[in-house]
Amino acid sequence: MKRQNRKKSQAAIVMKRLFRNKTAVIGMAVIIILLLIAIFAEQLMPYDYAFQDYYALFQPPGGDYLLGTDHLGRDLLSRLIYGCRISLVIGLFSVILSALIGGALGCVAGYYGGMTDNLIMRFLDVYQSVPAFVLALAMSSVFGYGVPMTILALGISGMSGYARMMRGSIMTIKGAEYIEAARAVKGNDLHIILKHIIPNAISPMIVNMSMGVGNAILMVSMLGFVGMGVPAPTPEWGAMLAAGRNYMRDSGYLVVIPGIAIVITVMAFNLFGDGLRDALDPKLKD
Amino acid sequence: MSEILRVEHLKKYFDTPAGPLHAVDDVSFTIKAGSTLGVVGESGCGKTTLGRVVLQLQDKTDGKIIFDGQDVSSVDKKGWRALRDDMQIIFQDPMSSLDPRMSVREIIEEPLKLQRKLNKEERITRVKELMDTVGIAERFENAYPHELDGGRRQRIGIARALALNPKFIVCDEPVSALDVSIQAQVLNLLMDLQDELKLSYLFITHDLSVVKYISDEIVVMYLGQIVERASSAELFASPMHPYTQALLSAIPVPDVHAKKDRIILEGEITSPVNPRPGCRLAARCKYATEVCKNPQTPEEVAPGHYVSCCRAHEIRQ
Amino acid sequence: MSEKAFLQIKDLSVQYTSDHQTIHAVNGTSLRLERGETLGLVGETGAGKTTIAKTILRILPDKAAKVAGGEIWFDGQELLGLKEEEMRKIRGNRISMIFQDPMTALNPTMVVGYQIQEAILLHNSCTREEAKTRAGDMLEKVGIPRERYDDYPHQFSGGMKQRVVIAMALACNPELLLADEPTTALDVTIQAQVLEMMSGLKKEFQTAMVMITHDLGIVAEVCDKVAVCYAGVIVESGTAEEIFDHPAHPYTVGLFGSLPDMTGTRNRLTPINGMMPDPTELPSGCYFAGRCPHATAACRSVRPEMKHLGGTHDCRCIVKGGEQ
Repeated sequence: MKRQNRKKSQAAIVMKRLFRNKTAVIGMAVIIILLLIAIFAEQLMPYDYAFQDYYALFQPPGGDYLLGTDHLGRDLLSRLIYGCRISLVIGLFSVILSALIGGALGCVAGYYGGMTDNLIMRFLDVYQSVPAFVLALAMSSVFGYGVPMTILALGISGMSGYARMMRGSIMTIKGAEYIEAARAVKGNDLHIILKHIIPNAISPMIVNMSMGVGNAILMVSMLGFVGMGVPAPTPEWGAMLAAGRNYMRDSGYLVVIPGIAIVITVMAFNLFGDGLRDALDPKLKD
Repeated sequence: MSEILRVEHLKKYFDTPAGPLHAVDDVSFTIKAGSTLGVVGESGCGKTTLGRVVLQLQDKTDGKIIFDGQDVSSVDKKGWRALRDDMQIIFQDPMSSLDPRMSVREIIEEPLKLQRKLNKEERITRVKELMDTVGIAERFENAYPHELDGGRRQRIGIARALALNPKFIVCDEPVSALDVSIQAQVLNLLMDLQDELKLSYLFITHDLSVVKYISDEIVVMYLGQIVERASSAELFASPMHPYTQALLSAIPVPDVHAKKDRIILEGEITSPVNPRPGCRLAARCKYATEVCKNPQTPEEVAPGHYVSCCRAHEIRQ
Repeated sequence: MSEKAFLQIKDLSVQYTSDHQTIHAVNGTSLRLERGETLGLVGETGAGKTTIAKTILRILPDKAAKVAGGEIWFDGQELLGLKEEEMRKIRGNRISMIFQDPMTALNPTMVVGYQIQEAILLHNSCTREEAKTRAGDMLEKVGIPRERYDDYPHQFSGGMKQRVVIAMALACNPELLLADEPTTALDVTIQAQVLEMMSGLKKEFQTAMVMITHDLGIVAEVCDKVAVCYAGVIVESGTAEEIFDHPAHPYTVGLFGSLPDMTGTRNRLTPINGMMPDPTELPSGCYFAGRCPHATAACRSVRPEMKHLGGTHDCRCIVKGGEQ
């Protein structure tokens, strides 16, 4: 009770709690490293990711090419570094897109209820009956290839989970007395949604988003693996994995290295998301 | 004294799978300006719904509400937002009625922001003034509700209700969640505010000792209906309705020498879904006869003392 | 007084630890209770009342709570030193507890009769049939018809559920009953029914009872003895008459002053100012000193001892004790 006279923002409290959780800090550190790699990909790449050295096909790790070369003699390290940018960009933006569309839908459905809710939810039911991966696959064949198209495909296919989640938390919050209190002091729907409902519903969304990034990266990889998604020669991790698959017997590192990259990234986001969930609970004591 | 609020034949029915639930069924009362009307009853008697409907936080099914001489029964949403300047509410549970993600200052400032009359500086001054009025030290302005104790939280709820300078406040069990010693502090505060700011209260509670302490007039509710209405002193001195009598005799009195001639009501409260006409207490009432199956109308047994029991006179003798 | 009472608690201290903080919930509490007596343990939220009851039954959370000192003697046996298996024989059999919220004590997926029957079977060597009959008897004792044996908890109202819980607690004929705010969740007319029933049963079974409550009205009605608890310490104890007629401790006086008077008219209440001290940082002197209108410099530095005021009336106050 003594510290109350000091001004403190909620963000600062959340950060303080987050830093107390060791696994979350590890996750966060890995994410920051990955982000730095993605941002400075050009500077970090020892070679051009598309440069084909025909004199050095299937070079094992070590030597001139630190992580070896693939079947076209392209430097694996450079491809991995540049691929990091592709995967992160797709992962982050597709999740943000899902959360925005899904969140808005869930928000409207949950707040207004009744017929509106029914319409939106039945639409999402139909939508969800198609497996997300198949949906993303169909979408990317409709929208075409390339990074923006893949983001669009993944973003739209992933929205129903967020919509359900948002709807659920909004329905709980809507019944809370402080919403009634806000209405009693002249709050209109927009004010109540923006000032009370969303701030209180957002933390499970953020947690889910941070975990969703890992999932989206896996999805991109899967799309890449079946030859959809980002076209060659852009080095996307899933596509690298797929390409390496044919040479797995003799050059296992072509599969193992991108595989490890995917695992580490997905895990980092999950650890971070877990920690965030605990840190965002306003009622936990600090 | 003039009337601040007049409610006539107010009804609120909820649709349930079993039929309409008569939460508030044909309730009429008036509140004089600057006075307190206590609404007392047990859980499920519709007292909370009554408070919400009077403020149109829930739509009414039927009936008339006249506030400060103006018929507000058919006022639309926009009109009601203007009326909120004058009509406010204090909630039962200060924890759930305060947004956990807002600081004390933000909570008290919210109505002022929405009113759009004051600029930022004026608002901050007003928030400080309000915190002072309800007795919260300024150092708590950046605290969050969960960091405070129940009494302070309820004071914030009161400050928020006072922010717009209302004339009338619905107090929905404002002290039920508080400890006795804190409860007394908050009750005193509410009474001081009433004298100072000339407020009128609709004070909803299940606690008879509290309602006696704070009210000028009291209505007793049972299953959505008012069974008895009288001034506070009159009601406690000569309760007429069998339910009021049972309710009064059921209060544990903090006095070891008190006489205990208790009237125990048989059975439990029934459900107000699709009620039959007639007295709703009849099934539990030891005085009940055939005539109790007819609808009951309030009868004035003494000046200002109304009872909805056709056998009230016989029971008295 | 040196002889051990039926239930005697000596200098009990219990602490909870959470994230680098130690919460001093019970700080040197002593109580005594004889067979067939009812003791009202009065205090506000956070006074440590429930913790005391849970410590007697030894159902405190293992990790967070620690008994820092003291003894609990029950019928000549020290409970805190008992092995868990021995304690299990006492718990629910010789000592029972009724919780505030009846829903937490009942299993929603089992019919109520069966739950009472199980409680009986657990502690008695009798056949299933005998247990079933006895469970039915118990239901009737608390005013629920035997026909409702096969109903589920959700088919009962709040008051009825609390009756079932009481039936379950009394099923094994306990010698000591710990009732933690048993009627707080109930309406006042239902509370009257339940209190009436409990007093009747208490007489019939000669059960000793600790009634934990914040409501002085209930205490006046059902208790023989009263102990007023503040910040984990008993500040005043005595018979109900002693406490209600001659409250000595400023806190007890303050509690009475906070109650709206049912007989008078609209007068101002005289509440206790301020709040209970933070249980993580208790003051060095009397815990009540910060709110007390009579506090002196001595009150803030010296922790007061229990003073004997005559009869069985004790009071922990250096200013007010023994003055009347």
